Amino acid sequence: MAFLRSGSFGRNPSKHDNLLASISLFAPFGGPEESCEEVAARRQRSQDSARQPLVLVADDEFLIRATIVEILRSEGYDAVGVQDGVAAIECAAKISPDVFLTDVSMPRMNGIDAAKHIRQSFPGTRVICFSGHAATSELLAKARQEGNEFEFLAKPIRPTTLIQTIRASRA
Amino acid sequence: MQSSTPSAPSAAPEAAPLAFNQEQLFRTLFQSAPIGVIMTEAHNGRVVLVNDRAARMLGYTREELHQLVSRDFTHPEDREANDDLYRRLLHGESGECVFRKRYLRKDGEAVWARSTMIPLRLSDDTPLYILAAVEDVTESRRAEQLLRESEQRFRIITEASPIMVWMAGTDKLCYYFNPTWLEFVGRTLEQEAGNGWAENVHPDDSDRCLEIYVKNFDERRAFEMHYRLKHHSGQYRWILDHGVPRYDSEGKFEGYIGGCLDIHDQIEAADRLRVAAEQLQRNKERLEIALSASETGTFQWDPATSEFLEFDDSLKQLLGLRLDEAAHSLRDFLHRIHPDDASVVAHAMKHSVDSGKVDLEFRVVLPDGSVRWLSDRARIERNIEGKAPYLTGACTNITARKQAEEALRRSEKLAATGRLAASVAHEINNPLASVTNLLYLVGKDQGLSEHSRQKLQLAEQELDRVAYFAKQTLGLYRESSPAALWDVSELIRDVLLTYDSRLRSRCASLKLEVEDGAKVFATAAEFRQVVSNLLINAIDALPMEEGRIWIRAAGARDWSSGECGLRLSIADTGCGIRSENLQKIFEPFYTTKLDVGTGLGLWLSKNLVQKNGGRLRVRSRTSGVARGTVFSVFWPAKSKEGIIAA
Repeated sequence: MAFLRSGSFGRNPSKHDNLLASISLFAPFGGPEESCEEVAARRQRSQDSARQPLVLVADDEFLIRATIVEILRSEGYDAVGVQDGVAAIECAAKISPDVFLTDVSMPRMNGIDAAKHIRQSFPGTRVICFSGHAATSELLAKARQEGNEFEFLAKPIRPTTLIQTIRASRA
Repeated sequence: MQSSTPSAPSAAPEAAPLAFNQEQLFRTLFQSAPIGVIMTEAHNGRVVLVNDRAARMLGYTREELHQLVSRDFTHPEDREANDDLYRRLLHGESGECVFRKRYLRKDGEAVWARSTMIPLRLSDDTPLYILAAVEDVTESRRAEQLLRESEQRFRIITEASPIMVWMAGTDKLCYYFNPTWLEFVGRTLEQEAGNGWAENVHPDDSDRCLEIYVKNFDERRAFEMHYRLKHHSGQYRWILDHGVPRYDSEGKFEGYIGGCLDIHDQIEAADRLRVAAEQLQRNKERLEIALSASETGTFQWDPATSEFLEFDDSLKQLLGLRLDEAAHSLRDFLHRIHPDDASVVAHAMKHSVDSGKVDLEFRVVLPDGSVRWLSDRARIERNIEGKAPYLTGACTNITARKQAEEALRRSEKLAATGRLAASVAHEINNPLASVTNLLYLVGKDQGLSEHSRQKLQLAEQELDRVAYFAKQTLGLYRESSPAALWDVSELIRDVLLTYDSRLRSRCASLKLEVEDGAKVFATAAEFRQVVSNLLINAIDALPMEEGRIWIRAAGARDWSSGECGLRLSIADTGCGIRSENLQKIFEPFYTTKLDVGTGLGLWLSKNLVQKNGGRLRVRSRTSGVARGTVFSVFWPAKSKEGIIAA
């Protein structure tokens, strides 16, 4: 249970501890999260999944990234979730995603710094940031000044909006 | 009278008719002559003939004198010279001569006389006589003596004088300097004489001095001048020189005499005094400026009598007193102080002798009813001779500081609020995101019953409300897309659609008047948020029925700044806002809608409008026909891109 060890449950873990005590988080998602290595291996094995556009989802809240991954998969995308910016960079190196969908405020490394790294290594990867935190607008403005323009969505994102945004051609 | 020659022959015809007794004539002349005549025998000095004038001069009778010899009535000190002269006259070594001598009167007093001695031989067989014509010169002799003494005195005085003295002749050249002068400059009379003295005058002063000297000399006027003279130590010292013209007894100009005083120490002292006085004056001016700039007034108060010894005009102004109004006693002072503070001030003042000081802040109520904050810092002055301890202090207007402190408190409150709102938003947004996604996924379940699906839709709708609330009201999230020109009516319609159901239930009529083609340069989300906050406010203020709302938007010019932009007004016929609440409605967490309001909507709107360089104003009435509230937004046409993008 990598996500438990990493302690990446956001700012109020007690709530989630209660949740964990009452239900199994993984059950509704058909088991634990698929790791990057597993996704890479699966896409090598299966021609079908290799044809689907691959979305790398980064969010420190398990429920958010897990639901987004499932929504994307239900809409014909392949997706994999990671819990922070560092994990995202490591994972991107293994799977070279088509889209990097990332929360902004995360522990260890924020989404914008991760996006800058990934864009450098994979210029073809589309970056979409989302956040519910006011402070993120400053981070985005700073990134823009440095020449990194990222698409942005405000939390909470309606699933339909998310699908529309990803389907839409790059802005 | 006909001139005649005495040596003319006596047989001359004109002598005969006169028939003078020559002897008689001689005797008369001899006796009445204005000078004393004494005839003595040369070889023994015996008096043979003496006139009355001579007798009176010597204090004897003629008879007495006939018994005496010349030596007897000659002053002992002159007897030797007298004898010597007689001998020389007797031996023919000297002819007629003038001899100054002192005669000795019978009463023993000396008489200075000028004797013209004439040796006289009447015939070969008569002895040699000496005829002395004696002039009493005691008076002139005395004057001469006095002059000599006075000269002597002058010399002693000048030489012993601490005053430096010089004398110049009619040629303007100096020929005398007293020892005091010479000692001062450390030079000899020879060096100083003529114009030598001028070498020691300070170069900066010498031209001016020379000019004064020459000008006054030529006009024979007394003069006074200052100059620096080089002391023998090498130091230039300030000298005061006073010159006056000299005249002899007959009024003939003889030159100048001058006296000089070393006034260096006085000049320096005066200089220091002047500098100190100037410094004092400057300090006083500075203090006055400082006091007036800091709006400070000062006072002195006698705790024993409770009377003010001093109460300056600044303090009167601070207290709102007219300058002609009296402030004698503590009562006059306390009269101006805010009722809540007066007792504290009175207590502190009355106990100042024990505490030694007063240090407090209090409010003053001005005649116009406004309140001014003053600080009062005072201390007790003791041990001042002949005086009871009294309180000296200054009151300073600290209203601005108090307001700044209040503003700081408020801005800190705002910042804290902002941080709180941001963290609340984050905490709400994340679970909201999860729940939204979960509900979406549940909705994709094909096996869901129709009832469940409908319930799920209701749940999604309600969730949308929460999401909207979080995003718009608590979110404080600033859209990162840059500002652009937007169609105003489109933006407003977006908002109206959101509140469609609430408008339908609460509002009988809504009138939307948007100028054709009106545009606004804004970030769409921010503009929408302002509109929606003001609209919610209007809806919530409406009564249950017959409520009306107007929304107007048109190009306008801001009346205060003259800028061009958009004016957006949202008016309602609601309950209105009481005037005492009008200022508070823009404060965070201020709400009258206890059950539904967050207290952040108007605060956020005002911040957003101000961030875009605009202004948000409110007018409201709680009664009458025009009851209701109008919020008016001025949104400038051109905003600074940087601010919007941040």
